[in-house]
Amino acid sequence: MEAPPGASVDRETPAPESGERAKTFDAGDAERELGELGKQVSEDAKEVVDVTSAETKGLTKDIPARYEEPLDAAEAAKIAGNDARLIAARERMEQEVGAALAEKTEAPASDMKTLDSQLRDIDQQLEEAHKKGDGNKRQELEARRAQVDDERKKLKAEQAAAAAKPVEVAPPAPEPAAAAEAAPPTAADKLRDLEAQYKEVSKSDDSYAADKKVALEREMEALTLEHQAGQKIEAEPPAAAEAAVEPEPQPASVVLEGKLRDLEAQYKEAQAANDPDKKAALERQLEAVTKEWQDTAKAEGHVVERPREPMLDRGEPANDNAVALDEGPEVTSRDATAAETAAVLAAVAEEEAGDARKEAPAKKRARELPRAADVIEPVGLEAAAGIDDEFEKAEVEKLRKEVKEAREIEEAKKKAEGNVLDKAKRSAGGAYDFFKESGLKTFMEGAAEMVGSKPGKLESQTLEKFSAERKKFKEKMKSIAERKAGLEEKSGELEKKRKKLKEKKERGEDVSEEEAELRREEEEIENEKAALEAEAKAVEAEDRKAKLAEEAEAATQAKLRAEAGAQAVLPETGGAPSAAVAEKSAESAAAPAKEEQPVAEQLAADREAILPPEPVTEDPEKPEPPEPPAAASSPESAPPAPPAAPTETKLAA
Amino acid sequence: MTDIKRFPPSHASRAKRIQDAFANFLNEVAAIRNERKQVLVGYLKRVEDKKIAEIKKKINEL
Repeated sequence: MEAPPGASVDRETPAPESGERAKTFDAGDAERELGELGKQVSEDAKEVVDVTSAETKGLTKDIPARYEEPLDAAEAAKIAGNDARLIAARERMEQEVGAALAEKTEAPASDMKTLDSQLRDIDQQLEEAHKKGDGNKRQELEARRAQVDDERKKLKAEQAAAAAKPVEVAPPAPEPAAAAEAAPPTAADKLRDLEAQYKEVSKSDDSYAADKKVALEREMEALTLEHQAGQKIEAEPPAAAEAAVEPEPQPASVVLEGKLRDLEAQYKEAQAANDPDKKAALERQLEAVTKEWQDTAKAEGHVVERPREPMLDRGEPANDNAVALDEGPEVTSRDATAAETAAVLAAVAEEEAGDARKEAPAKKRARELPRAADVIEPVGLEAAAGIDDEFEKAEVEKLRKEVKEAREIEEAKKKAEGNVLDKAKRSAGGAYDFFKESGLKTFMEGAAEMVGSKPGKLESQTLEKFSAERKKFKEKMKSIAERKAGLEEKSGELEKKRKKLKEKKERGEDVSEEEAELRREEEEIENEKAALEAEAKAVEAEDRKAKLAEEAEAATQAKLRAEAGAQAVLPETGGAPSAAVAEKSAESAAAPAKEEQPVAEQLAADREAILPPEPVTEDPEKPEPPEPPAAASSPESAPPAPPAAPTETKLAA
Repeated sequence: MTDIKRFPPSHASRAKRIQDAFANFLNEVAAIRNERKQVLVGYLKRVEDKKIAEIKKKINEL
């Protein structure tokens, strides 16, 4: 069996050596040992209560705080009762120990040896008094001897009686579980008991009483909460000793209520069966039982606000005071609570009886304990909860692992999402920053210029700027790479130098100065390399930024072109919108900027496609103007007919 | 713990009584700890289930 924490291990009296019977205590030793034993178990019990209470606090406060999830009502109720139960158990133990120790006062003051010794002394003194002829002394001694002799006889009789009865004399103090087995206390009993304890404890103002008051408050609250949560009882939470205790249900009126319901059900059946004789009989019974119920309820102190009259089938409309049969007996809210409470408390009693039966084997095991004190366990999360089972530990561990994995997945997703968002942000923000830094107008600022004007001017400028910037970065990178290569070369030379120095050193030459010089050079090179690395990273970052800005710019321009499309650009130029061009614009808007294809080239191609064809020359092989877009063919959505293309005009002419 | 056999019969019953009282107390403590263990196991399971459900929900929302 698991030992509670706090129980000591090293206070055991050493076992008697084998083959040698342990020396028994004499009466004085025994009293002293009993006192020690009582003191020891009290200390152990206090330690156990302290440790267990601390663990309970951990479970009610620290663990919920750690997991950011409060205990639910049922859990809190179960834990809240722990401290009170612990204190009660300790009290019972203390009372029992105290009673066992108190027997000392009733026990004979001296043992047989002492009395024998006293008798021997008195006999000796009597002999001396006899020799001296001291009659008074002799009388006094004889009286004393008679008294001691009586004591001796009494003690002998007691010892004989004690030897005759078995050692297991004192049965353990009855536990609540055992009491529950015999007659399970109702919740009301429990509350009353707790309230009485609370009042008793309130009389004292020491720290122990304060602790107990808190524990009792918790237990009372827990009991009420349990009922409220699980059984829907309308009871006031007894936050303190003044807490109102729900009155115990009145069995007589409850029984009568049940009887009434039964009769009403029967009446309903008779009504359905159209049995007038049975109905009449039931009516009489109902009236009688209703009267009895009213009287009983009044006698029990219930306030019956209106007479309860079963609405019998007399062909009359229901009056205000009548109660429909199918609604059951009309009772006041107080009566309803009492009835409900009765059912609830019966369930509680049954449950408690079940618990008591469950606890019985534990009680048996407790009696079989080899010794009371045991080991102190380390206090951890599992220990605090009393989790000592490997399977349960593994289960908890498994759950933690699952959560960890789920968290990792979440982190990965967040990271991925962050990367996407970050990239998008960099694209937008980077482009904006880049525009600002490069002194160019942002795309939005220049959009108005773009739309409706001849395309390509600002686009080309912007993209050229991008290209130029990126070219600069590339050159910088190239320079860095060259410098890096130079440093590598230098490192190679230094390596050769080091080999030579090693050879010299092996020959026994003094190379300390050269070695120091070499080390300095190596350090310098390393520093330069590090500086170059940092520079390279900075340039790479700038390049990346420029690249993203370039991509964002290209994508946005393409999108705007697609939106503005042929309508914004082509009318000015007088060219008919080309299906191919519109399609191409849409494609370029939808497709992400391709890294492989320079944006400037892409734009140039787009521009070529968008720009109107050059005025027709005398070349007879000039192709026909492009067809209008398919969308324009619809009469509803067709834009106004564009003006005749210059080519057509020319051709017509 | 003191060996009861070393007590004279007049004291042995009292020593036994003390030891039994302590044993009963420890038994009660063990029962409380066992109940608390069950509460914590249930609580942890509930918390873990809730957290896993929240995480799964978030993952699905991504």
